[in-house]
Amino acid sequence: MKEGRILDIAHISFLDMIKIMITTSGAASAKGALIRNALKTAESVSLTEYHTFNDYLKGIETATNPITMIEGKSTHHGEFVFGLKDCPFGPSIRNYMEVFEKLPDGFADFTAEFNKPSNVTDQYRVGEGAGVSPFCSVHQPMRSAFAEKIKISGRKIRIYQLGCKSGSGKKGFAEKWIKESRVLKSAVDAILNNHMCCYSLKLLD
Amino acid sequence: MKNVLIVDDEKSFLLSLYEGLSSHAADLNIHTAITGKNALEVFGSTHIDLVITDLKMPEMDGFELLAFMSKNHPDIPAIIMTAYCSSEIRKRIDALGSFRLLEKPIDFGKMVESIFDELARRTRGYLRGITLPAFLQLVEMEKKTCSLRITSGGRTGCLYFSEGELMDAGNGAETGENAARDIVSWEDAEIEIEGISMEKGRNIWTPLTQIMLEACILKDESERSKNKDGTENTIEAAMEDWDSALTDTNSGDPDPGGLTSEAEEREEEGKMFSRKLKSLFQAESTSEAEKKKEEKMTGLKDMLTEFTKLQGVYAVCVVGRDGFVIDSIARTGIDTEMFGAIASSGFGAAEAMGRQLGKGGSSMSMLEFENGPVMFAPVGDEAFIVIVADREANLGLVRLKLRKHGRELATAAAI
Repeated sequence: MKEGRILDIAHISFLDMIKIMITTSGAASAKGALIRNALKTAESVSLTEYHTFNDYLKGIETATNPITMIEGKSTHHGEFVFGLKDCPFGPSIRNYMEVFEKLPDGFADFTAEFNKPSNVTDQYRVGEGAGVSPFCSVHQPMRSAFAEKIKISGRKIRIYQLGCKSGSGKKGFAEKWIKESRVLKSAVDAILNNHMCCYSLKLLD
Repeated sequence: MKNVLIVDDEKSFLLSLYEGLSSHAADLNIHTAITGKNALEVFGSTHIDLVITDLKMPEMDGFELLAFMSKNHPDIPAIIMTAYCSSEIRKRIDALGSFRLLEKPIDFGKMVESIFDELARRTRGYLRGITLPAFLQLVEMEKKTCSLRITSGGRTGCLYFSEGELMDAGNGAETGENAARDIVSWEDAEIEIEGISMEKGRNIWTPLTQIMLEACILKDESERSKNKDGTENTIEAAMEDWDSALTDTNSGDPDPGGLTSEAEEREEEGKMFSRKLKSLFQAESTSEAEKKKEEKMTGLKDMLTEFTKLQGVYAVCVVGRDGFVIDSIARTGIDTEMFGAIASSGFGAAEAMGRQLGKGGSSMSMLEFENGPVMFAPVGDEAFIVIVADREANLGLVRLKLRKHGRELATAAAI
């Protein structure tokens, strides 16, 4: 039996709400609101400690790693560089596009705003070109903030967002974080061929 | 022997003052009047050295009497008796030195002290009688509705007040704020007062105090350009002059005894008055050291500190347009992070409204609350400043400070 198209109203509302925020208080303010919301979520996560990096990777496989719990399983490509196969917002975007064919107005401005240098994107090492949609402003800071609640071998970790790919296949690279994390851009590019998101992890002293 | 005229419509009060002052009969000759009109009769027959008047009286009230004095007896000092006077307005009027305020019910000892003090100041020769700025402060304080016809040096202008608020102005060439700024800067003004027979539309939204301050600065700028050929005529330059003038005021005695001619005396008197007017808006005395520190300040924190020194300002935040605080100075109890987030939404909404209405980018927004205003102004392209103040704050001074330090703030706040 054919059910026809069923909308997830939560997805639709969320995307439209972002559009309204952009219209009523500007892309910068809307961006800030989404980032704050993501950081607030991370505040409620408790500290997780892994004895070794392998234990951390096992946490990804068993989906017990806090980061995995919000974005799904990522793949380690060596040298602490990870690729994420599916964008956690993919279902929302697909659901919306199925009905309305294109994303709401203002999303491009929002994305450009997220990619601009700012204190908060500096602090969480996100954006700077790695944003390909407004959802990146939720996902990327949230992952970085979750990482602050994780320790490996008693050491804090830090995430660098290296690149991202939109549903249309367009890649965005964070030159600043690629340079700072000393990962080759060509490696990021290659990972993004088969993944939607690429980031690196650094163990702090 | 000095002739003192007391004007009040309460006969019993007049009588009690008359009797009370009889113990000073050797120095004072007391005259009384129950209306402004009666007072004019006394002026017609007696040389008066000091007037003490109530403001609210039938027939011809205290304002009309003061206006008459500004035109016909501009050098006679006056003491005003009033039932209500906010500390802020009292401070302004006292600093202008044009006349003294005594709050009702009258403290008799204070009144005697004021009488001898005013007469002594008059004798020393540097007290002027009714001046326009002081008169305007009084109109504002008493929430009076009237129109004032101002004449000075062959020029004539009108100021329209409704319940103490300046509504409109005209000087023959311009109307509104420009005309008001021009008129309030006139010296040796003669004032005529009349009620408003027709409802007057509002054409001025800037507070009177700010207009007076701006007039003062513009006047300084004009004098500066007259005196210094080739000097850049900017608001910054005017502010520098202002600072210098304040420093002079704080450190020096006007010493009128050293003046050699009436013209010089009047010139010096005008300068001193101008300095006093400016000082009304200065939150605190600006010492030389503080001035130098202000010139040198480069850090954002230093700049924010300068804002918190302004009277009534108790929180200053520079916030990224995304709502994340770049730097702030605030009284304890203010959650600046949350405040920044909310302010970003408000500022963003104001800008969005401007865009929707085709008004362009915002230059400044102000929200007025029961307990004081919150001002927003862009700082470069990526940030804005939020200033939280109480009701006593001088918004004109805040605006000027913003204009003066706008570029430095933008540089310091640049991400």
